[in-house]
Amino acid sequence: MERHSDLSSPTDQAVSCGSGRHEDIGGICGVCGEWLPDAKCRAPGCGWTAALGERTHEEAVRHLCATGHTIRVLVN
Amino acid sequence: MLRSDVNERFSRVGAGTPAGELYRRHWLPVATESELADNPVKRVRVLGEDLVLYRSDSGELGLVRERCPHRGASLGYGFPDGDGLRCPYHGWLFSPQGECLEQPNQTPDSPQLKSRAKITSYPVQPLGGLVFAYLGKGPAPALPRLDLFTLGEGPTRFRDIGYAVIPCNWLQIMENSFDPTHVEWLHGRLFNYHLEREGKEPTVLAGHHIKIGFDLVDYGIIKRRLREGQTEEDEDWRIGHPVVFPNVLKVGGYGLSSFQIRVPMDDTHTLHFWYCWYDVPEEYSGFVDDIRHLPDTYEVTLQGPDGSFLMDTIDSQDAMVWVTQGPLTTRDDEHLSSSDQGIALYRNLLRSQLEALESGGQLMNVVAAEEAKDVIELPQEQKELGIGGGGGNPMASFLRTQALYSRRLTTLSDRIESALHKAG
Ligand code: FES
Ligand SMILES: [Fe+2]
Ligand SMILES: [Zn+2]
Ligand SMILES: [Zn+2]
Repeated sequence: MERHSDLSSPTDQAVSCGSGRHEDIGGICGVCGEWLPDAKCRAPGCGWTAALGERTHEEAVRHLCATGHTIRVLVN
Repeated sequence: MLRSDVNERFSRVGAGTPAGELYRRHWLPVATESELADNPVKRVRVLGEDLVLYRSDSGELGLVRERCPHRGASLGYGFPDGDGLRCPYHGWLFSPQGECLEQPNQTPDSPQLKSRAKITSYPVQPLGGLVFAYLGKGPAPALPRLDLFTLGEGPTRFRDIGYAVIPCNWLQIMENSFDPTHVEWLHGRLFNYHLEREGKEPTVLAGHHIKIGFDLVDYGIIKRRLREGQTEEDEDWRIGHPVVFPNVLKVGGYGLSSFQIRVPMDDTHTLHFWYCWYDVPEEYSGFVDDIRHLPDTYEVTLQGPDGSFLMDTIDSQDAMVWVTQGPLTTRDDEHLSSSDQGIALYRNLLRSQLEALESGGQLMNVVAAEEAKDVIELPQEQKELGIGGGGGNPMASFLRTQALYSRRLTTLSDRIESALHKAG
């Protein structure tokens, strides 16, 4: 899943722990502060889910546009 | 944060801009029908274009470019005559489709000059007391029949439409619709600070948020909140507030069903409608009859004479934070926090819609006219708009919203107040 070439992120919170292993303290990473929301598809039988830091939002929109499924994005 | 070129791409609405072209694929309300009943000619500015909306003597609605092609005077000062609108300067007559029908002092009559004088016009359609315009090219899609637009007045129910020009970019206003936690501060703690200083009863809006969530759905996004003392069974979480992409928020509660509709006038001005239906308790239906002759359209005052925002209604508080960000805010200097995830989601949705537009893909809420749905039902809370300050009068707490400027609502509230007083 490559980044959009012509656009920066709509939010750019993706500061990221170099290792890629964030420490989830509930919605954000306790070390770097990046968002860690969960997205879960609510369509019966689909099972799509994402937890990709800031990119979760982008992927959730992509899944909606591709399938029309309802997706819940949660920030606990 | 948002790089400044991306910010521009998302925000600007003139012809040829990405977001401007996206808005040109959606129907936008530009006035109310009662405004036109009052005065059949109205100047409107939409997506950076200066236009004139009018109703001809024969009843047809027209939306045409404001500038007369003869020598440039404003058709906004013109008058309806027969099937068209006459320019105030030399009486050239224009049809709702923009054709020049008459050039009275041109002799001899010149069909060529008439055809060269055709002006830009756009399709318009009334629905639910609003007049909608479509500024796109090609065949207009279906005008979405959102549920509240299809309601009618009833013994206990009446419509009320407030509007105001908000001097800032539309996206600042829309982002607020995905910002649940501002309620506890702006409409809770700040409002209570002001109310306390005036010795008034506080609002009940200061409850702390413990969880927020967003559902991406086929028409947009639903925002949800859970506050201290609530469970997931509460309407705030269970039902939430739907936003119909790109610019309509639905809010309900305590007899109110409403849309907040944001129409970009240009990059730094937004026409805001508070499209409300009130349903009052049965025992007050007699009073509803009394107010029905009053206009259903009113202008909302948000700023005092010195320009500072009034802090006495929820809506002027909102306008304050929208406008004080700047006419078109910068976003390369923002610091989003975990409470801003709904904003991130909306920006991603907006980006994907801009990309879909550019690649010729399917756009959300844009369907061909022949596929129009009869009604688009949207979820709505019934009980959660607790503002406080109403006492025994179910309408009085709405006076802490923009409805303070509604003649229908204030008159009704006064009647109820005196009835309670007599009974009391
Ligand atoms: S705390 Fe949010 S804008 Fe200042
Ligand atoms: Fe608000
Ligand atoms: Zn991290
Ligand atoms: Zn799915």
